[in-house]
Amino acid sequence: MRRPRLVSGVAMGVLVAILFLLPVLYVVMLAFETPAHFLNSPLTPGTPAVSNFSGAWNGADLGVELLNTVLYSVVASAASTLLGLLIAFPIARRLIRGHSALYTTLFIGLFLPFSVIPLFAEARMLHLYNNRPGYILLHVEPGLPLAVMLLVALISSIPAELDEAAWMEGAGYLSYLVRVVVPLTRPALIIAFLYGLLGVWNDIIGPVVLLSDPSLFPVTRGIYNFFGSNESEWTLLAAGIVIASLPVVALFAASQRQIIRASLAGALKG
Amino acid sequence: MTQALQAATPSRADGRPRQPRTRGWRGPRRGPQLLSRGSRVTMWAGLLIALAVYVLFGLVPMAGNVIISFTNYTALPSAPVNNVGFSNYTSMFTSQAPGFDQAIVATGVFVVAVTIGQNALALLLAHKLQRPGRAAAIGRVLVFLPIALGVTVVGLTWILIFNPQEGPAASLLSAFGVHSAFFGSASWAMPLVIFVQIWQNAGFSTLVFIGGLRSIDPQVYEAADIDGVGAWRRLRRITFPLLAPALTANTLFAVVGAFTTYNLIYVLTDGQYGTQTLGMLAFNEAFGSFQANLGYGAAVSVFLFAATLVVALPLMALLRYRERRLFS
Amino acid sequence: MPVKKSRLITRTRSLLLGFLALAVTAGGAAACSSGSGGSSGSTTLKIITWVNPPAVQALNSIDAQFHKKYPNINVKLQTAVNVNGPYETLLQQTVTSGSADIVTSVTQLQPLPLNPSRSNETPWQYWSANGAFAPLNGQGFLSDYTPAAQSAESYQGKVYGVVSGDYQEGVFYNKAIFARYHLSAPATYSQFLALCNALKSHGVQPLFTALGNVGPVYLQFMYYEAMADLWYPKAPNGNLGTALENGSIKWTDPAFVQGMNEEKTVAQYLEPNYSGVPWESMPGDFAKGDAAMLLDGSWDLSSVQQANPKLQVGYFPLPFSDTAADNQAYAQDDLTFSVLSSSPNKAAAEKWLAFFSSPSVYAQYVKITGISPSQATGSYSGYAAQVMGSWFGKGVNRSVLYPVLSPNNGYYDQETYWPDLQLSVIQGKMTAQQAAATYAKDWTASS
Repeated sequence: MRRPRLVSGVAMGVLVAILFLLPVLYVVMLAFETPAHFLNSPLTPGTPAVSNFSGAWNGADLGVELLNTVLYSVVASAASTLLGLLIAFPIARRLIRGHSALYTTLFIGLFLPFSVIPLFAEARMLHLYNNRPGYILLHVEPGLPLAVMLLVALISSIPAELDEAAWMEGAGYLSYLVRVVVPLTRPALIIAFLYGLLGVWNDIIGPVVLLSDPSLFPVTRGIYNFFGSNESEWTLLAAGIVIASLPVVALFAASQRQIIRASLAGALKG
Repeated sequence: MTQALQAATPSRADGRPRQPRTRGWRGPRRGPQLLSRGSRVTMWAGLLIALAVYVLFGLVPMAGNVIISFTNYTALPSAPVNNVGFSNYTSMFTSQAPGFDQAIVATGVFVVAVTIGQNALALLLAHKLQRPGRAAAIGRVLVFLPIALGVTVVGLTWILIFNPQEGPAASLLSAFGVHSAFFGSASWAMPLVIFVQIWQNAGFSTLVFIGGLRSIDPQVYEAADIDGVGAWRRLRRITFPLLAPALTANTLFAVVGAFTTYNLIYVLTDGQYGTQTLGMLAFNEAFGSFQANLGYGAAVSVFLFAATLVVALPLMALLRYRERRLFS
Repeated sequence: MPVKKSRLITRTRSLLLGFLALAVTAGGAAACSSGSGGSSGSTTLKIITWVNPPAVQALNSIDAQFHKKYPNINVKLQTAVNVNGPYETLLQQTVTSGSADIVTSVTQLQPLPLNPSRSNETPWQYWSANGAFAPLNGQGFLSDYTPAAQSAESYQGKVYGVVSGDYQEGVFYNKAIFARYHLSAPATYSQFLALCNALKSHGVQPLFTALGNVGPVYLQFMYYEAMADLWYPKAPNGNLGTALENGSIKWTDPAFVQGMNEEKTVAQYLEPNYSGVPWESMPGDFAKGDAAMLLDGSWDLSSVQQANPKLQVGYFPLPFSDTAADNQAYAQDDLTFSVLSSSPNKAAAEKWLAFFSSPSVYAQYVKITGISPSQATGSYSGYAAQVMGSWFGKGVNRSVLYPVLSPNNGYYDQETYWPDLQLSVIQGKMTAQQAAATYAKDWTASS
């Protein structure tokens, strides 16, 4: 029996194609146009050229910047997820006095903005300004509250008998966390990691305020500078955009099933 | 524990079982008696290190905002820092510091439009993209692409598309007789910025909704089909209520995100032409052109934090209440 | 089920490991690539500036020559996108954290406000007065510069910066188009309007400018001129800025209102949607022949020449007065170099400035950038000098035109304030009288 549907699949396909595919295609088309062709007829593709790509790669130093982006995002969000676990477990298992108050304190963290004004001063005081470890450390906190919230909710659904059994047999705290809790809370860990990762990945205010040496810039900052210096060389800019996007697209296409499956388990019911 | 509790809990008037009301993890402390001493030390060490990071880089900066907001701090090491009392706050509310009133309006519009738009679009997309199959998989990649591409790439792409001179949008719209400076127009800039923000973040919201949709027991839908429930009614009465947890999460993400982040606005317009939200205003006052008013910027940040709490906390309480009602 | 789950787990685990491995390699590679150039005995001199393409070109060339002369000094030039936003942020961070040696500014130290205090000084003035920059008194190269250039950067007897020249603003016109329609450079406002109408009647876009990505601040091409032509002649002692500051002239003066109304008329001849066209495209679009006249600053002349070397360009200051003698060019000191007092490489920085100021190097700089020179001697014959002819280097300087205003004042000369007001008048959202009155109100309230 045909299930009634609100919007036809075809209509949806068209919507997604126009809204999400066309802009991407336009940029890709631009990246392959020669600047002269673009000036004359910007809306039609001409004979493809690849000269823009080398220009963009060299001009914006995209190689180092891509590496920086990956480093900052992955390490900072991994750290915030793991540190979140270290806070969430004692709270969820009520192993410390004042666990409820602690939870509330972390809850407020969900609403904190990334306070660049005091962080700029703090970074300089603590020698975290304009270096890689400093930049990563400054980006750990934003993902922490969500990680704690999600993990507390999920850990609560793990039976306490499991801990008790393991601890009575002499299992250590960390090894228990890694061997038992981590696999069981995988959905929450993945969502928290992803959220933290996207936050650092999409940060341009952070690099503008907290980094000054261009070799430390992530791609967001690098491409932004590149834009102003190339005036109306839109084709070069488009090539830069394509280069900066390729690794991400590939990575996401490969990992999207894991991510979707993670959000399955209703990690958010909490 | 659960079975006994359930047995003890009186059932509802209509006979449906009621969830036992326990305080869950919020209950009284049980104590780490079973952990060995070494493990207890590890637990505390881990907890304290993590907390130190949170306090040092989350709470201390907010306190720092408050402190700086009472000074005329300019970040120059050799310059004196003076206490200026409440003057940063009073200048927010008198017409002497323009941009603040406009920033409140801009923030309000931005938050409401982005939250509603993003969730609506995500719901629409999630509905179709949660299916198995190659087409849906490609669709999911496409929809998630914007947030994976990064804010600068997204911003610059749309600046390219909406270039009033050589952009495709200009050509397309001029066929309908619409001409505009787009990101340079006071009437188009904010709607465009809202649109790009929604475009970028819809992928993440869609992901959350897909998770929510997939956790709905298909038997519910089968029962509805058998009863001949139409599509719209099914959406309203079954899907939407069952998505409450995902909706709560998405609304929260969208509201807090729209309040506190301004990365996209920075790239698209730097707060000009009416797009300057409170966060953007604080940044521009502190680090933007010819200003270096970090004290005033900090005051705006404090106000922003208060505004976020004032809006988000009741909203969240409301949504949680709805969740509990729907699931109990 | 367990089998499936474990496969899932191992796949996720391997994915995560992949991520982490990538990150570690990234860290390693990035760390390696950043640790270059630190050999003993060599210093790295860091200069920051904004993207003014000819200036960046000139500085890169000068840096290369400097390195040849002093092989153990490497010069790194860091740029930010445009002067009115990202560069100011970079400048601020650099000055307060001491992460460069030489910084560039587009605003000057002098004139200071009548009663200087933190609340009414610009950050550059505040930094100069609070020891952020190293005094350059006694350096040989200073005497190459005119006394006016030196005093623009002096505070309490110390010179804190080197003004490398003035840029001028006005109308650059396409000589071929003018010749085709038998038009010539106008000397009065009415002639200018007639010229624009004539062009329009032939279907040619008369005037072109672009505010995109920089904001309404580029309306200064009109409103500074309006003030210079209509209001400045009325200023006592030839200093409109001081007169406005001490109240002997009011913001509600009819000359100012007239200026704003005339701007509104002139703006009609700009291309549609000019506020959204990116400013970076101005030189290229004009060089293509999209419009007969370009409203811009002379810093873009080199870019115009590069975009179309065959283009014949002329210049005239935008005339807002019907008294031809009152119509002057508007000039502003630009590209000022200062040495940070916290810099560990002050000696190298001073060597660089000395090299920069040497006559042959400075002449190259003037030629490439099109700036009007601030050195006392020397002859210059670059493209800008050719285009601007007798107007080159002459004009009303901003320092006598516009008062230094409080940053906390409602309509301080910053792009989020005063220019927004101008745009409102031009777009008809506010009358010129209302704008002048708002200005006067906030001015008296804060001074």
